[in-house]
Amino acid sequence: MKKVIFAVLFLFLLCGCEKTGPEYLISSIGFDNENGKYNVYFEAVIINSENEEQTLKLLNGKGDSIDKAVKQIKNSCTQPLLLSHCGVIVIGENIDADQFKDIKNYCYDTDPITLSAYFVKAKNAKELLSAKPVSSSCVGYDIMGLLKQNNATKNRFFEILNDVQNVKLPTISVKDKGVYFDGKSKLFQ
Amino acid sequence: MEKANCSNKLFGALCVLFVLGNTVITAPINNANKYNFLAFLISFILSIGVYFLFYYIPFSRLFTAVIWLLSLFCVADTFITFIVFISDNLLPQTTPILIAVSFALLIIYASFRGNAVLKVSIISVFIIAFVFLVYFLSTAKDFNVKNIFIYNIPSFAELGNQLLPYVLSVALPTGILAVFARLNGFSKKTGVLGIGIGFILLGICLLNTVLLFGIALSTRLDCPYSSVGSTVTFGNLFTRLDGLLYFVYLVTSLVKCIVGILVIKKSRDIP
Amino acid sequence: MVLKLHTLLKIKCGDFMSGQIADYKNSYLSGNLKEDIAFFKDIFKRDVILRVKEISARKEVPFDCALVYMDGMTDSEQINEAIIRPLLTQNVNNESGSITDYIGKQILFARDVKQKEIVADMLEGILYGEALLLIDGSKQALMMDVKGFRTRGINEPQEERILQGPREGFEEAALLNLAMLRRKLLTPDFCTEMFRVGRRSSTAVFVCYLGTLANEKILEKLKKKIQKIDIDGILDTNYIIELIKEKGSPIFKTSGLTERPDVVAARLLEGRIAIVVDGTPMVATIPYLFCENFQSDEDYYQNYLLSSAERLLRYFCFFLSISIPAVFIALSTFHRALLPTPFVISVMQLRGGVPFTPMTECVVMILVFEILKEAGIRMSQNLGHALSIVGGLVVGQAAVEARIISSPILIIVALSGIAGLMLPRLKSAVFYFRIGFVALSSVLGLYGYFLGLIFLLFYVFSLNSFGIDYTISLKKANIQSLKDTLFRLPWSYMVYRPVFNKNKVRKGNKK
Repeated sequence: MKKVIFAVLFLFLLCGCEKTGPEYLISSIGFDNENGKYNVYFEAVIINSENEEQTLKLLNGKGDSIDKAVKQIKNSCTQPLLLSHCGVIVIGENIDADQFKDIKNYCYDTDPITLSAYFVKAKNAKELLSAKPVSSSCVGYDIMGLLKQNNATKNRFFEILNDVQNVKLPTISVKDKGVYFDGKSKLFQ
Repeated sequence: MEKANCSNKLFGALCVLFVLGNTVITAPINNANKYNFLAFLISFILSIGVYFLFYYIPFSRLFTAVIWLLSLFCVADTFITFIVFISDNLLPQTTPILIAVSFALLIIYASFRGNAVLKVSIISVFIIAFVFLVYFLSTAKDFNVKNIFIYNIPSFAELGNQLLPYVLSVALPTGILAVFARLNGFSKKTGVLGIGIGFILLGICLLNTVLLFGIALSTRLDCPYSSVGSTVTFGNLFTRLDGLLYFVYLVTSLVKCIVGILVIKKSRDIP
Repeated sequence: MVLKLHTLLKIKCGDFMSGQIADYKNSYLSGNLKEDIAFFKDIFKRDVILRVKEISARKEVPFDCALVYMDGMTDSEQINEAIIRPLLTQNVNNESGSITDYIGKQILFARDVKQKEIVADMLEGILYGEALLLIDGSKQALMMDVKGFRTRGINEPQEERILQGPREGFEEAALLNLAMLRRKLLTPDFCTEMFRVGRRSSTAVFVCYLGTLANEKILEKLKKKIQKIDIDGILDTNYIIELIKEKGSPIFKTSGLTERPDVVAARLLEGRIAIVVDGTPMVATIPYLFCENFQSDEDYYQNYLLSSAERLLRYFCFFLSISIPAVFIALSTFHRALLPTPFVISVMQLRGGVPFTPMTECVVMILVFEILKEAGIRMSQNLGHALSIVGGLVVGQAAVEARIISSPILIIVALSGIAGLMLPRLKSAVFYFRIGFVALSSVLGLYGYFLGLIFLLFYVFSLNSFGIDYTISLKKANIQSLKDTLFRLPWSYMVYRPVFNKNKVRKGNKK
């Protein structure tokens, strides 16, 4: 009987094997409006990439609703997407008020997205998230650094959800190899 | 009444944790509005009233039956709230049965070590107070004071609607504390003091949530105070300190369940 | 004829004896020297160490006697000078009265001469290094203390080294250990009671305490338990501890063990009771509280601020040692959201390519660490260097490079192991709880870890050591009881002794 117990316990150890492979950590999410349809972008930091040169990837999905667009992204990607470290939500300038409401509801319903994620505005979410990061591993964390430098921290998700009046989303733009905060350049390549 | 074999300070600590119980996980409750804090203050007064009422009612069969029912309700409510919280927030991919069984086993084990509950309480009170203070101070920069302003007096119906959840989860169960004190010979003054401190801590937690998130968002969240913890950061190293709260929730829920069970066990000896 | 019958009977009976001293508690000397010598030779017929020296004194009052002793246990010089020489050279003038009395009081130069009647008492003395003088015509014999067995000498204990303070340690001879304690406590209040425990070893067990400080209930309980012990032999203090333990804890110790006389003296001054066992340098003290696991002997010999800092560090190390592997597994497997993002990216990259789950890696590394630790204790010093190289290079570097384990796990387990080494008195507790927490957190994440932590708290708080609360006292939960627990306050503030004392005031001036 003792031998059986030991064998079973040993088997538990052998069962401790798992698949290895790259994992996608989503650092920021972008939303654009294209002819009334949603364009959703996930900026993914690739961990344990098979191709050592590629550590960043922009995942894209389109759809009538946010859920459809996100589903398209998930279908195109075999690896699990880790949303719990998403720090920045980028809203394109042509997103209207109703779509903004949908975005808020989506972010609220998606459990891993934290209430302290920053909301920022950009002319074009794709252009911003495709930029090369300057001082950290991805653009999203560059933006977070920029916001903290400028003490612009009153635009977090819970403040947006609270419908706090006069919450002005800071505008982040990319030009001339720099990431700009409200027109003032702060991070250079 | 026999004199207690244990120091009254330990009982006071137990009362603090009992008051926090499962309410600290869910407060403010789902249909809360701006009068919720008023209701909370009124529930404090009601708790003291219930405590004294249960302390002085002579034991009888009917009273024992009421104690039993109240204790069972209290244990079941706390147990379910806690399991739902863990299952939804901490371990969404783990079967709730496993979580429930493990928690139940711990309750059973701990209820056989009644004296140890008192000692765990006194240590936990200091840890909990420290955690609440850290949360309050670190989120203070994001407070919006307008969130707690009330500009008119509520009607009785509105107030009653806000008061009912506190009565069921905090005020009524303090009767169990009074019975616990009577059965073990603890001083009633320490009980009152413990309840008071428990309400102060719960108030800090409520205030913190409402000042940070506002009442509208707080009621939307399943576990508002846990979400407060997720916004706490210290530099780049310590982000999302809601992990500390899980320990607080576990201890307060556990103590509330154990007190209920111990009262049921001991009340069997009442003639 | 009678002699032969008597001897035959004794020999016959001897074959059916169980070989214990208790078999002879109803046996007495015959008074005939030859018979008595034959009797003792028969008892020790298979023991070549026994010596019998027959002496015929031919002075004014002639008498025959025989000296029975164990070679190697006695001091030959003392035997020659204090016993044999006076017997052969001194005049015996006793014409009336007991010759045994006269020889014991007026002839022998030996110290501590006692008269014995029962054979069991005589055997106890012979086996403990005393010499027995049988006198022809007397049913009483004389026992002389001529102990001369070699001892190891007073050395510093290997396991309890300190930088500041006394360096002496106990050794195997209990009487020497008692003498060392006596030197530290020059008070008539120092009490010692002896018990003989063990059917075949008849080991001397001494219970020491300060009469006006020790808790009488604990003392009575302890004495009753020791008297009830029924075992073949006692070779170490741990035998006594395990046999007198109440519904105790197999994980946490409920009695303290030490090799240092200064530690035992300090504990006696706090009203504890010490158990000294002959044949082992380990002395037990009871009751033993949880906070004593974190106290070092040096705490009281150096500045209180430094001692307090070191003590807090030990508490922290205990917590770190049992928690850090479990917390790491919980956070990296179940709750990555709680970790800072750069840390998560770094950890995930380092774990890339490792085929095992964090739990498997952790358990395997903990076991490897324990194997290295045990091997380091058991092996000879010459191989120690080779082992450390093997352990470091092979297990550490090669395993990481081969992607069998990941470097974060290696660091975590190493840190946990080294933190655990800070607390030698808690090594079993640290091991069990570390593994237990790892198992819980690998199944239930952070919730499982907290479950384990709460279980640990309840477990420790429900223990007691001989009726005394192991941690916080239920009756006296006050600040006074904290003055020598998490930190050590200066001596001027430690006015009271621990709560279980009957005399609580330690010093005169209260601050």
